[in-house]
Amino acid sequence: MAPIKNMKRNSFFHILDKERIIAKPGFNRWLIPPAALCIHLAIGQVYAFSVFNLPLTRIIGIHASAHEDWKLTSVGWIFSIAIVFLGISAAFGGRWLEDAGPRKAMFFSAVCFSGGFFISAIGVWVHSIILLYLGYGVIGGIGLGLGYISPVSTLIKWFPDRPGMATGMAIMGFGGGAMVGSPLAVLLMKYFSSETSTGVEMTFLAMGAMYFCFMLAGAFNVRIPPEGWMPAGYTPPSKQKKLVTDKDVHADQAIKTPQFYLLWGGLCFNVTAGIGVLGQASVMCQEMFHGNITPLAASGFVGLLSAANMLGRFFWSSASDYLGRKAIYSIYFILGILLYSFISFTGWIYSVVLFVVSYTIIMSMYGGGFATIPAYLKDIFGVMHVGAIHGRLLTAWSVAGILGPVLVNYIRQYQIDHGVPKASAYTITMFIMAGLLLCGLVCNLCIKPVHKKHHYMPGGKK
Amino acid sequence: MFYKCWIDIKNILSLLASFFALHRQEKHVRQIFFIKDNVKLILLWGFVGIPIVWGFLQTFQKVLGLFEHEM
Repeated sequence: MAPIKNMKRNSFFHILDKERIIAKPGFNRWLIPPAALCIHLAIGQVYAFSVFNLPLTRIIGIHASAHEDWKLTSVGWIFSIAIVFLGISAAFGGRWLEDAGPRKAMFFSAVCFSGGFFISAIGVWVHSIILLYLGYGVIGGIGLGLGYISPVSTLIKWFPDRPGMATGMAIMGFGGGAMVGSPLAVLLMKYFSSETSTGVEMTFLAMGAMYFCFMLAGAFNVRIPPEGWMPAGYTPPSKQKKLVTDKDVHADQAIKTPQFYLLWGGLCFNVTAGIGVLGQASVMCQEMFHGNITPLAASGFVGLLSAANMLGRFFWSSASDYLGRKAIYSIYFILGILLYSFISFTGWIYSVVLFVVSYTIIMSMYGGGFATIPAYLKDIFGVMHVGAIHGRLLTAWSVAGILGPVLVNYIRQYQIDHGVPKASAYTITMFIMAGLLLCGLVCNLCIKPVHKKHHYMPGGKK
Repeated sequence: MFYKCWIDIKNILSLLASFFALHRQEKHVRQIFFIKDNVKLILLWGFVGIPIVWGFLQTFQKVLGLFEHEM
């Protein structure tokens, strides 16, 4: 038995174990944010998947879509499946992640995410859309979910003094992933394209390999702090803020508390409003300021929103360390209500500058909502199962991902069908979004500390 | 192999520090020791920083297009 045991101990997978990544004394905690960024920058590529949409509809025709080519509606499902599996894997993988540790989760995330690219490349070669749904959609989506939640609880444990800033830094990477992934994909497709190929399959292979190496760098540099570790010179405040707990709540118990559902609602309303207008940003600015904004300028506007989304994640979540999570979420909702209502006004007075500024602030708060939520969960439910609880809360994102675009698109179409000019077709949508944020504000204001009956007792019940 | 490279980098930095110490350039010695102590930190932040800066520059070019053409 001993040799078998030794084999197991010396196997490759042993280096992924949680016990192997406990940091030695003197370890610099600032090595953890870049490790987390390696994962989030890679998986954030999902936001840029739309750059593949048109080339995927020309695989056979190359220069124009042939009759046998995939339709845009079929290709659009790849992204939707990936987002749905992100939510599912984050919800179900969270508990496993807490037991297995961040390195194992990051490694499997890298295998799934890059594996998704490789399977999709085969799918393009044999021209089977099912392989793309399975590859990038299902397997890649599982990699997205595991990767998204894997560094969160580790960062919170390393930065008990500034959890908002730490998680904001990592989740900022997810927002920035599109800024890297989009031009990279365009560059690679241009390089690999020829008279007989759009270059998509080779681009998938190259990106799969690149992202795998990038994510491994993150996985092999992540460490967890020893039990009871505290930063030098830091003593936890003797009197905590009202909402901040020093107790822990088990992940299975957390979903039985009203606080979980209020946070779920708050996140869902914030993301629904943001994601709804994000998807329509390019079309909206061209229709509201017809003749004044060209498609090229609109793509610049979308780029600006990506940057605002990315920087907002760091800025707002860092600010939450000083202002408190409940206060910062109230700012998102109140300022959001004002700005969504104001956007219609910018159309009436035909002010592009005010439109761009309002939209940029809205997108920064959309990103801020994502980045602040892990620290908010840590405040309410403690640090023990924050990764798992965060994973379950991300189902709000999956719901919002469907609800937001559907609301914006259908209401706009309904108004146009009833004779409303395109430039004014967004007025009601904006007021509905403001209404959603009002619901979110109510959810946020109702959040109170968790009842002590839900607190985790070691050796006792959950 | 990676571990050996790592040790080599640290040895080269130690040699450099000794060189400056020999020439009584304390400021440079301190700088070299700072780099040696934080070389992993600098490399890792550089590793993630390069794609972020590249992505920002690409986006910035697009944003300039918005203002150049329309404002």
